[in-house]
Amino acid sequence: VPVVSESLPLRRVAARTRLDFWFDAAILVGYTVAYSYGFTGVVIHEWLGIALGIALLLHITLHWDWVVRTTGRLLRPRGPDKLIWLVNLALLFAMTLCVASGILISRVALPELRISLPLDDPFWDRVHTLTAEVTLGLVPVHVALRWRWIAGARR
Amino acid sequence: VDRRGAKVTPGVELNSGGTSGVPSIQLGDLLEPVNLAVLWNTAWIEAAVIAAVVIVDAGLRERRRARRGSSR
Repeated sequence: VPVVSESLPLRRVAARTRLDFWFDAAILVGYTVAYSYGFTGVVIHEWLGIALGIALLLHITLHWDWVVRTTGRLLRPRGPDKLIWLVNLALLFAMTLCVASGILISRVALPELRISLPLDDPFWDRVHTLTAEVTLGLVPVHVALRWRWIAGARR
Repeated sequence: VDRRGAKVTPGVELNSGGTSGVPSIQLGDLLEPVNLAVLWNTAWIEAAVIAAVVIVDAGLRERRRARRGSSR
C-alpha cells in the first residue's frame, strides 16, 4: 500500500516535469524561429510572436509557485536564486514589451483579425527591435541558469 | 518593396490577386540556404550564450564546493 501511495505523487511530479520540459523546449524553439525574421518572413513571424505571447503567459502560470516562493525568499541574506529571479524579471519585462510592440506594429496578423490600430510611429519599431535584441541575450541566460534542472528533467 | 512601402523579406511573396494586401507564405522559401543562415545565426548565438553561462556557473559551483570542503 505505501508503495502505491508514494509512487502516485512521484509519478505526478515526473509527468509535470516532463510537461514543463517539453513545453519550455517548444517555447525556446518557437522563440528562435520567431526571432529569425529573415528566415520566417513577416507572416510566420507575427503569428508565432502572438503565439509566444500566449505561451509566455502559460509558462508563467505553470511556474507561478516558483515566482511566489523565490520572491518570498529574496530578503534573506543568502537567499538562493536571486540572480535567476533578476534575469527572469528583466526577461519578463523585455518579452512583454517585445510582444506588445510587435502587436502594435503588426502589418499582417492584426489586419487579418480585422483589427486596425492607427499607429504609424517608428518609436514602436525601435522598441520592438531593441527588446527583441535584449531578449536574444536574456533567453539563453534564462535557460542556462537552469541547466541543472534541465539535465535532471531529461533523465 | 511592396505597395505600402514595406520591405518584403525572404519567405514572403505578395498576393497577386487579392485586395487585402496580406502577403502569402511560400513555405519552400524557408529552406533556401540564405534564409536558413538567419535561423542558424540565431541558434548559434543562443547556443554560445548558453554554453558560456553553463561553464561559468559550473565553475563557480565547483569553487564554492571546494571552499566549503576545505573549511571543514
